[in-house]
Amino acid sequence: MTKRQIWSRETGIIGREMTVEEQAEFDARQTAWNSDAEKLKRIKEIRLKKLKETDWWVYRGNMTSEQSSWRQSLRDIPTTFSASDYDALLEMEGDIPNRKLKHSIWSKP
Amino acid sequence: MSKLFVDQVDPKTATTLTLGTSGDTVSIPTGVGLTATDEVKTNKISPASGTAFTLGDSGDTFTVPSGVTFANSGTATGFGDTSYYVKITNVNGTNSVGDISINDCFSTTYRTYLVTFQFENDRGGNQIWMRFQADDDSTFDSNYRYACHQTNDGGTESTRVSTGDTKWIMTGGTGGGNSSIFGGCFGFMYVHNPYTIATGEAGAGNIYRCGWNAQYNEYDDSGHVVNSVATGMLEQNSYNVAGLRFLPSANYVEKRNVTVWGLKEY
Repeated sequence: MTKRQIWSRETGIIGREMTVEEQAEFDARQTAWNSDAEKLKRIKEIRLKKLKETDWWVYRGNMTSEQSSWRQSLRDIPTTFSASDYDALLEMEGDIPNRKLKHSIWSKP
Repeated sequence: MSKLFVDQVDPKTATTLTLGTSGDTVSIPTGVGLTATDEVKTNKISPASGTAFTLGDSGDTFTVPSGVTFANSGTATGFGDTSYYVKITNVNGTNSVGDISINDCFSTTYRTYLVTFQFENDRGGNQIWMRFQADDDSTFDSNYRYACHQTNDGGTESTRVSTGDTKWIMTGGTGGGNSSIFGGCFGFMYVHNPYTIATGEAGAGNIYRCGWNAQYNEYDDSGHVVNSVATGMLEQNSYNVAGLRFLPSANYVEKRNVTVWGLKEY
């Protein structure tokens, strides 16, 4: 069972194991967070931010072919990659403050 | 009854002069002043009539020596600023837990609460969520409307918003344009009007009673520090909000330190 930490005026701080119902809710949260749909949602969120960060390349009007290809590769993620790739796309590496997404798709040219 | 005309009364022997006997009353009529230049010792001072008692006159100074304690069990007014923070609880730890519940930190005692917090998940990429709790310690699982603006130290901005979430997503996601990773998350939030406002008190000024404002930071995947500024409303007035629950989107919270303060405003 998963531990909880609880404070109340009557008991102060206590740690206890989750009840069956609480554990079920906790497990459901893990399942939802680790579902393919939720992972793809997070990948798309990262992708959107990466594209927004580099919109100025487009506005500037002279994108290099590498920059253009990279932005297109981000747009193609849902078709290029399958659910089995999602964990790799979300994998992080390095230590703080140099921790970053590991997959090469996220690296700007 | 006879009247005694004398300019001074002194002890007959030694240095103690006693007036009357237990049960007697020594009266000093209206208009008669009593001057004692040195120390007066008594166990109680009360008004001679009515309920008002005055110490000194305008311009006088009364000195409270070092080490003296004023124990006030009544109402003290006019002593300057009487607004202050009252610590309600601190919850901290480093072991892995599935959530942290602070069950009944809110009450009718205060209208505004300060919550200072630090969290760290057991792994990067996961989010920290917050849900309010009802009187029975169950969580409110809907009606969270919020807007969060994030800026990282590279100048990149982003937002995280919802018009009706099942929780408030505090951290994680794509803060400042990059994926946030929980190098450290610390900040504060104010919670307003968790309990029904009593008749006669000033209204909340919002359609919905309970809301929050927050500011906190975290690291993103480029090593940038992300500043998040958020505000939100719990869009319901049917139930009192009695507590808080912090939980990870998945897995566990490890390091945490949460303190709840009540703000005595009035």
